[in-house]
Amino acid sequence: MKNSVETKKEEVRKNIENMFESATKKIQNIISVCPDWFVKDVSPGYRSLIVYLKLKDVAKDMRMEVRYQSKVDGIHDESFETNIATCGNFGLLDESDNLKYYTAVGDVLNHKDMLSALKEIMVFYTKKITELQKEYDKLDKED
Amino acid sequence: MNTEIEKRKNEIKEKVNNLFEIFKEAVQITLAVCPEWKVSSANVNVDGAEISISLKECSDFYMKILYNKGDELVKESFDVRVTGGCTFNPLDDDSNTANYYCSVADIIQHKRMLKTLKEYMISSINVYRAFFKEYTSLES
Repeated sequence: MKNSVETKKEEVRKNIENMFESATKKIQNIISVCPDWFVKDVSPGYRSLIVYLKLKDVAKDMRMEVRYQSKVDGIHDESFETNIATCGNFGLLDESDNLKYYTAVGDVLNHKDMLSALKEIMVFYTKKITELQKEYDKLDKED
Repeated sequence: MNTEIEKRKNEIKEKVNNLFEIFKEAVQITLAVCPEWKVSSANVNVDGAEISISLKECSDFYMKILYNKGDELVKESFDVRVTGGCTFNPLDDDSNTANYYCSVADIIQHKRMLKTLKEYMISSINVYRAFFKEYTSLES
């Protein structure tokens, strides 16, 4: 009995991993209209998903985060948000990572269709991953 | 003699005020290629110039453009200061923050406009320095 639960848990774990892999590929595909960025990571939160975008070809680790939070009664409203880093002063006519960063941020924000598609895919994967996590928790209690 | 000096000093003050006005107008005209922005303030001094611009839709969202002439110790610089990062909905058309970052990207891609802006800043500083020098000599 316990062995079958363990086997099932292992399957769910694998499904969650596959789900993240699949989400990362799909998101990378959506983001490809903004070629300055690549998907560094897709992380789970509590019924939420965070996409870390990293700027290509720069020395510094320059990121932009996009977070989808599904509605959780009494705790969270649904939200789709992004977070931009602060770079301080930088030269306007020199080639710099900061200049590239703000240009690339503008590119993402101007691609409304891409952002809508990104939100849709994040909604989809948040739901799927949440379902799998619930299934895993249930099996864990049986174990 | 003293009256003449005072007269010239007043003339210089007036010319400096005109210079500030002309400088601000020139900056506004130069920035017209980025229509989301308006000039809040434009100041010139002996070492540099500073322009503060804000979004027409919401003046709380601003950026500063700073030119420093430099000297033996400090290198010449032409910098921008973008205001701090925060969290916002990138799909909200009414989000001033989203509009702000799009407008920042617009400005920094207009290299020719930025070069013109820098030239205006340098020439205004030079004119101001000449007035400042004359004014100081009249005072001593």
